[in-house]
Amino acid sequence: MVSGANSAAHVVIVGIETPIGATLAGLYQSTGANVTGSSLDGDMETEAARLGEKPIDIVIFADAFNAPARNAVELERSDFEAGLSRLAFKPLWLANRLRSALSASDGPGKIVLVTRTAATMTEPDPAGSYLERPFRAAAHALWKSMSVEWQPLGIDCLVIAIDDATTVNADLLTTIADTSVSPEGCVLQDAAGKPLGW
Amino acid sequence: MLATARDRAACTALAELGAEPFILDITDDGSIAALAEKLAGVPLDAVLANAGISGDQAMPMEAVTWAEMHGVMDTNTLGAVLLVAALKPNLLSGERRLALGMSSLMSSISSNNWGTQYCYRASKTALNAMWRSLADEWCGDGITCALLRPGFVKTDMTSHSDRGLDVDVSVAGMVGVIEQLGIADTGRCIGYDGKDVPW
Ligand SMILES: NC(=O)c1ccc[n+]([C@@H]2O[C@H](COP(=O)([O-])OP(=O)(O)OC[C@H]3O[C@@H](n4cnc5c(N)ncnc54)[C@H](OP(=O)(O)O)[C@@H]3O)[C@@H](O)[C@H]2O)c1
Repeated sequence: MVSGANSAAHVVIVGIETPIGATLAGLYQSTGANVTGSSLDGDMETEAARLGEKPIDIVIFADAFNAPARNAVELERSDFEAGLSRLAFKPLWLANRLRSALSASDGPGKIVLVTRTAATMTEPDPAGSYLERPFRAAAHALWKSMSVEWQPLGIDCLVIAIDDATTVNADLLTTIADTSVSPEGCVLQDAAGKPLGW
Repeated sequence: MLATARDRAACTALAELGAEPFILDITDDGSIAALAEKLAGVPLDAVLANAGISGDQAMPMEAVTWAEMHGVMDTNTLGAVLLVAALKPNLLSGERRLALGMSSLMSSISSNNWGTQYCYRASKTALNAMWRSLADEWCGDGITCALLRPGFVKTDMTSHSDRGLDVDVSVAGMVGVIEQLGIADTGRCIGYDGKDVPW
């Protein structure tokens, strides 16, 4: 059974080197969980094969992404590729490769997309406006579909907005452990589990 | 009324409808630049980025490739924002200053309780986010950046499904919405029925 305080949990953190990823790793390790670090750099097939070797209780995508600021008239089509790949395509691809390992969890598997409130439709985000926000929003849409389709498989797909690594604490582990997705799919939450708008 | 199509035959059909036709492929930056050059100095009241593709609607989630996701985004999201950005000078010299994107109920994350059509959904959600950012940036220029939702319509995209609205009904509804738009509406996503689409 996956729980914030379960010593048997196997937790995979994608983006373990980021401040949020590193803090989460420390918190899970302090509960006795077995934490595996991962990254979206490098060969994804090799990474998927490595991670998928044993059952996984929780996967957390805590990757960082910094997009340069641009005005709309300065945008070039090639500028969009990095955000689309890193924020939307690779997480979806890897999540799907890890589905069997999550299904093999003793309890409900959890797959968590860490995002930013600035990626929602309601928060203006001058810095990431065209090169980050749209692709995080795309990832929210993908995670919502995944949450609907994987709920019957016993996998909860969560989207949690964390704007500051210093707010990552034991409450977040409780939120992850306690959130069950309904057949209607996930909602965007903050670290304390409070629902936010998309 | 200026209208675009990807080939000469379709341009002829547009001319027969009374529009001044131009060739445009919104996945081709040269094509967008050529259109902007042809229209240099021409005031435009509204630019509607309508072109869109569904992609492979039956593709399972685990089969989604980079080529599929990139291809659908390239048309539905990137092409749309690059087109309106290229025509910003025309909008600035127009009276109504409307930058319009063609969204969809499929863009709505909160309304999605059945999954499917992953790339199309993601592309339209990303389009909404692009337009929200455009609305923030261009508000000071007096440009209204709004998104439209045509409803489920009998077109090639829906294989002219019997369940769809007639094109005339959808378009009449959207024209009614467009006629009322002002800067206070910037950043909204509005259906052919006048209702806001929930994010
Ligand atoms: N039909 C619906 O129920 C529905 C619902 C919600 C939203 N929408 C949106 O409404 C818009 C119009 O869709 P529709 O239903 O009329 O679909 P459609 O019949 O398939 O028409 C799409 C149009 O987009 C053009 N197009 C595609 N790729 C292009 C490109 N790279 N450059 C320039 N033009 C391109 C197509 O040109 P060609 O003729 O050359 O292929 C075609 O004229 C789309 O944005 C769609 O997503 C439709």
